[in-house]
Amino acid sequence: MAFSGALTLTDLNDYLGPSQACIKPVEGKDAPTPEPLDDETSRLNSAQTQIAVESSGVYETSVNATSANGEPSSSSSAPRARTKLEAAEISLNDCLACSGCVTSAESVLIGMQSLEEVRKVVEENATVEQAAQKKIVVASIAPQCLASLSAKYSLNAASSSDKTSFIPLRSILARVRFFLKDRFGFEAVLDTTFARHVALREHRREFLQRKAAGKEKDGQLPMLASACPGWICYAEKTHGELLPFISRTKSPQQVAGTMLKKDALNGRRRTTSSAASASVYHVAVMPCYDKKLEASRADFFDEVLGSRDVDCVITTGELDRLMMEEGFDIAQPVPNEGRDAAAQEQDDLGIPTLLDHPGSSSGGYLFDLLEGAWRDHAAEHARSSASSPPQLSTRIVRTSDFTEYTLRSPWTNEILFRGAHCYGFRNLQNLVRKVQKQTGVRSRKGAAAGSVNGERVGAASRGRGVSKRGGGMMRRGRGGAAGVAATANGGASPEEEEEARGYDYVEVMACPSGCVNGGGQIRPPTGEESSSSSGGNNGISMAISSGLVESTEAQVDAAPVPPPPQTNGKGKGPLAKLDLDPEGYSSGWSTPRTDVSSTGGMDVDTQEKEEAALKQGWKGTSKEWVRRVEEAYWSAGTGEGEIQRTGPTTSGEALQATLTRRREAKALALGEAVDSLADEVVRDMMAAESGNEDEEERRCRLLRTDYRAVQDEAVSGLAVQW
Amino acid sequence: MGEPSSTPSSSSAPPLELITSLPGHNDRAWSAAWNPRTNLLATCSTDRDVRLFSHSRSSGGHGDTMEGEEQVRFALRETIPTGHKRTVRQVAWSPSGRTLATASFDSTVGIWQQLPPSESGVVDATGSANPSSSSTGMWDCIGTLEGHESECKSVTFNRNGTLLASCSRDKSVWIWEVQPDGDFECLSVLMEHSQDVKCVRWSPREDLLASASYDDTIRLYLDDPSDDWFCYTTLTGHTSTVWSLSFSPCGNHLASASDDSTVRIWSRLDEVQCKARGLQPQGKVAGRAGDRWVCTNVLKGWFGRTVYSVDWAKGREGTLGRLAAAGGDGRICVWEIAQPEGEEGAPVATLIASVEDAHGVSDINCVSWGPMCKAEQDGGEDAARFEEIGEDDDAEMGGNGSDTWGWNHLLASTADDGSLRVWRVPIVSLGSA
Repeated sequence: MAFSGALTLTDLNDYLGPSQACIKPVEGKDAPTPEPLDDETSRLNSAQTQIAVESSGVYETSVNATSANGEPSSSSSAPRARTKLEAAEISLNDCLACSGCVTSAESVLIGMQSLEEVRKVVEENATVEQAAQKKIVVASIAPQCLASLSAKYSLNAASSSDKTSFIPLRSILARVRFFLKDRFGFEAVLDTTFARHVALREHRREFLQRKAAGKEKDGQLPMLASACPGWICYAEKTHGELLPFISRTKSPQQVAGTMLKKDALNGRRRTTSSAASASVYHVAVMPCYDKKLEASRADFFDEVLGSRDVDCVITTGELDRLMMEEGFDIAQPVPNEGRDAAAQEQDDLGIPTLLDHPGSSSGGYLFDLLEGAWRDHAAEHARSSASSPPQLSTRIVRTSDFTEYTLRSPWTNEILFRGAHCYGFRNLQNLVRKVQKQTGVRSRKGAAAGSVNGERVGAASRGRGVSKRGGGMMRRGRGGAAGVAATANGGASPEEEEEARGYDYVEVMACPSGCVNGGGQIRPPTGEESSSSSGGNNGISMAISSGLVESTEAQVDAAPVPPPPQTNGKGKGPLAKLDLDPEGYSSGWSTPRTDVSSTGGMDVDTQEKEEAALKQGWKGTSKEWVRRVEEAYWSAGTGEGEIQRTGPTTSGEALQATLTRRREAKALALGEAVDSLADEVVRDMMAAESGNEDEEERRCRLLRTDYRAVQDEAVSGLAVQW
Repeated sequence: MGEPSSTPSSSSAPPLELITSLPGHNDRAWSAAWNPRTNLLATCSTDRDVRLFSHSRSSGGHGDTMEGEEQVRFALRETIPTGHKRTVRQVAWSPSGRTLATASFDSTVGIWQQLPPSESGVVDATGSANPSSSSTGMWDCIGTLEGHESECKSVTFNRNGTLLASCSRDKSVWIWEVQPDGDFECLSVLMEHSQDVKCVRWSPREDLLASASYDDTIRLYLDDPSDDWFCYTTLTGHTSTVWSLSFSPCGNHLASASDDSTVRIWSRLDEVQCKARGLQPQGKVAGRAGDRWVCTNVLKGWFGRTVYSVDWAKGREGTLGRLAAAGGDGRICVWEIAQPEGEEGAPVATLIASVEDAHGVSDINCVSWGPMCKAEQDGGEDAARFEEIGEDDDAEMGGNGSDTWGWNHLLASTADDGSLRVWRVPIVSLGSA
């Protein structure tokens, strides 16, 4: 499965049949009054309820009243009460939020947002004769996708002589733009960095608002990143208590969606021939399958326009496939690709492209806030701080996927800002525990136990135990008291002080290594593929050309023939075990679905070695491949006058250097220009918004969103016992 | 199938002797675990309680007495209402005996420690007085581990208590690091199985983890010091759900119990043995030579139904120990496992005791061997000894207990009838040669 790790764990495909597990009908207006029941009682109750299908196709229930102790009450001899059930409507969102039947939901999902859908829209659009009714088809592409394409196609171009040279992202963007415009009649193709810039600015605004509000009430900080839909989905489903901490700011994808749909960009330049009233069809190219899910959230559906802000999300892998199917070779330059750098700086709609957001390849959210704190401090101490900027230190927690950043005042050593980036599901778990500890919120699982127990007879005598403590491995009295005592002694080490202070912000991403390793990225190319890159008819491409194979784990498992060998390892050590999923993506927390040793029982290592020898493609491990994509992401463009792109910054010194460099006049001027353009676009959008809300409300409507906890108790209740 | 197999011949093994039968749980009793350091035995149940029984020998129960005359008494010491919202499926002690972990269908793992007497006095005062609590501290939940998405099925500490593993119907296996202050940090989430994971067990010799699943497979995991935990091999052969696992005390063999009514024994081929057979060793990481696990014996025909539990403990010198298994047909079998001398032959299982309908008509959910006393615990990291808790006071009968015959000829069983039974392997079966 190509969804992110968090989503994979959440969306269980279990042996419950979809119809049994689906809780949606229970939530209708016929839903029984929710009352906490013992396992036993609920089982008895369910046995007394019968659902019948009438000839008209209407479902009816007949219920034998049961008393709380499970025995039929005196009225049980009365005719059974029959209730016509409300017809259940199950939307894609319901399915995705539920753990019951996600496998089938994935098929729906792929069907609704797929290459086929894009082709269909483009074809239909071509047959429309009246210009006014034609849709304006636009695409926005994430920079991580460009990096993935560059990593793959630079491999062929450089023919291993120069492994570190990459096709510049700018060229990749130009070629994708050419391809989509030429072959599919797209009006405009832009990258999402400008939208990301708008998102980052709103993100920082929200952080400052929370920080100010945090002085008065709890539940503001730490702010947690909101750009990763896998994380959002996981939090909504299993950690509702953390939702208040998740940033409300829309992700770059959705900001791009809003900007394009609100016609803000077209409105600025009016370069398009179509009338402004024509509807926009927005295709987003993303490194991540979960982004499809994000686009389908109810909040991102525009009632007025009657369409989603992002109509269709396709992944990098899908875009790659589309280009291969069309026989387009992205390794070859396209006309006008080498336009002068100044022209390249702006895209079709007159907005700047490929903006530099340093700090991480997942968007640089943490860095942006860190820089904000850094600048604020510098501004406060304008005179003296030039020579002594705030001190930044980093600490890696086990692996670089979990790194803490602490910014301290150069004089008082006071902590100005403390944040972390946290990638991958395993780290996410530890983050959840830390945030629970920091904020004192408890998860539903732990906290709910108390209330349920409280209602049971005899609860008083059951005082001891799990429920009393709440969730999240909260330390009970003894440890806590000891900790306080240690701090009170005044001898608190910097670590203890940092621990006690907690985080201000955490950049959370569900995938290990972040977005460059998204589930929708191109897998490391195999030998066959790299030798005939534009052909695209090799075994693996065939295998994935059906959306169903790609999407349903069950079908892959059930396939009588094992999938074509996809091991890319050198046949040694654990990394070789990072098997690839049907799409060839190795989920970083290793989900080998077809362990070769389990299927054949033959000599795996010999087999792997032979395969490796046959292969002319990527010879490294999956992890090395991800590192390569990361490198491509940061590889400098060749355009003149472009400020140097800033690399991944894990060490305190590198970050400090980046911060200092960005204070240089040229960088500042460029930053200011982009900032004011971003503000202008937001103002335009707000001006175009109707309604009499105040400015802030209008702004929030455009740039922020909401989350809701998903209750899955009903599913747990149905769960099989062993 | 090519595996060697052992089927029952005319079984003339003597019956297991029932020592005690302890009803108590109001619903099916799932698992029993003997504290490795003190004379406590924990059981858990669908009724969400954990029961702690203390056990003691009547005076004179020393090594020089005839075991047949040995009197062992069990008494309910404490009933812990766990507060878990659903069934407590398994209990596991840390090697120090100081921490108890509970795996619950409410998807969490509870971590329990004994409060110092003074503190438990406070708890008593707040209204949860427990008549069985004595001046020694009560067991209290010091935290819960969350993360599993659905029913947690099994939990286990590694050999030195630094790691804890749990598994769930959500198909995942989690590894936690036990931190000094009783906190836990998630080290790995392993999504290798395609179905419900039933059981996790650590090797007693190294940090090698095994998991068994509804997908009929067993998977083995190692930590790559430079990377993450990973599954390095998958053992296939069972034709239905694998319910339970137990490593041999030497760590070179693994027993698995399955819904296909068999118990399989898997053996490790070390690097040299792999080479001799032209096999590439697997699971080579820094500081560890590779190996291969192969099925070397299938115990079939012994059970008419699902085998739910298997446990392997040290036995006579020169053998691989004693293996006990039980399941849906109510039968408990105890084999002595031995490796033919001088060869690399497959382990041979000889039935040395058994009992039919051990819990009447009820399914047996767990069998568990008693702990060894100090003298038999080799490789112990610390000087910890087996300490006995007195019945009514703090006084430890350590002087008495530490030198006595261990408890590893005693077998506890739990069943759907909610009861705990303790059996003794008859003296004739223990052998002295």
